[in-house]
Amino acid sequence: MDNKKLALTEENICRYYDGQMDKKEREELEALISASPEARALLEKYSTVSRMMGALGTECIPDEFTAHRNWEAISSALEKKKGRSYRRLSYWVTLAAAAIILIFLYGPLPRASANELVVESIDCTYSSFMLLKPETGSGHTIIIWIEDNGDKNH
Amino acid sequence: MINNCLIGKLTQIFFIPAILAFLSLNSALGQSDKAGKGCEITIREIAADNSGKGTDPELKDIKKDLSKLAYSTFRLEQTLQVSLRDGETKTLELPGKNRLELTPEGLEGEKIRLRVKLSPESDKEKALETILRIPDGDTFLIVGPSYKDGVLIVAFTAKR
Repeated sequence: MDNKKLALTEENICRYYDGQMDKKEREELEALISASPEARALLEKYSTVSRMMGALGTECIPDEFTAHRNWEAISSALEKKKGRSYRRLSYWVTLAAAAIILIFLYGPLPRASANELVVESIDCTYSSFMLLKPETGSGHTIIIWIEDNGDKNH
Repeated sequence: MINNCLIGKLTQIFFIPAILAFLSLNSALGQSDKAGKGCEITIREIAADNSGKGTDPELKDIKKDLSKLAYSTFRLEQTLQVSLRDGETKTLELPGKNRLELTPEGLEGEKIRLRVKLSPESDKEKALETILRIPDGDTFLIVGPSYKDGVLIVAFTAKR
């Protein structure tokens, strides 16, 4: 059995305050504390510090206004990023649409055929006719060659 | 933030239709500017035979086309110029008593749509009637009505 007497040290007062002593130790230390004004003052100091820490911990929880403000800042940053990518997409879509329209209206494919002479219809009651398309520098020209067996006119 | 989103949406809503409207208007104005004005046609009457005298220097722009034809002489007889409104018909007397009728019929894309009718005055049964779409400034030829010792060639150049 341990008959060692408990000393009134700061460590023991701290253990007492934290509830780390058994019943016997606690009773023994309480007797010592009641006889010592310094020990009581130290105990009181622990209580004050503990209360202050508790209050500080509660104050660190953000209130509704702060939480709302923080969320707005985060949301704003996310929306800004989203808005940038949306505008970028919108820009490329617009550019692509404009390119398609330009190709359609002024593109090289219609232009290539636009340089060709075209015979839409021929109705011939001469003996016969030939349609020639000799190449030129820019495409083809058209020669309609009629076979005329009629009288020569002078 | 709201302003940026709004600007982005307004850009998408208005910018593409604005481009479309601009291009359509531009195209329509371009067409309407040309449409209804008619065209100017240059008609060159050329006598071709095999007398071996070569090609008239005034025909150098179509010399390559004429070389495809089996004649050794190409002589420019006459050059006519007619200005016609769309739908208007012009009748001309060509050498060898041939009758020519020209009717421009407006634009087909960027090409001049031209109706041409050629027939001998003496024979109403014979006729060549054709519709051509001619790029601005291009030339085509009609070869064949008998003329002197060879044939008559008519070169048409159409311009807006």
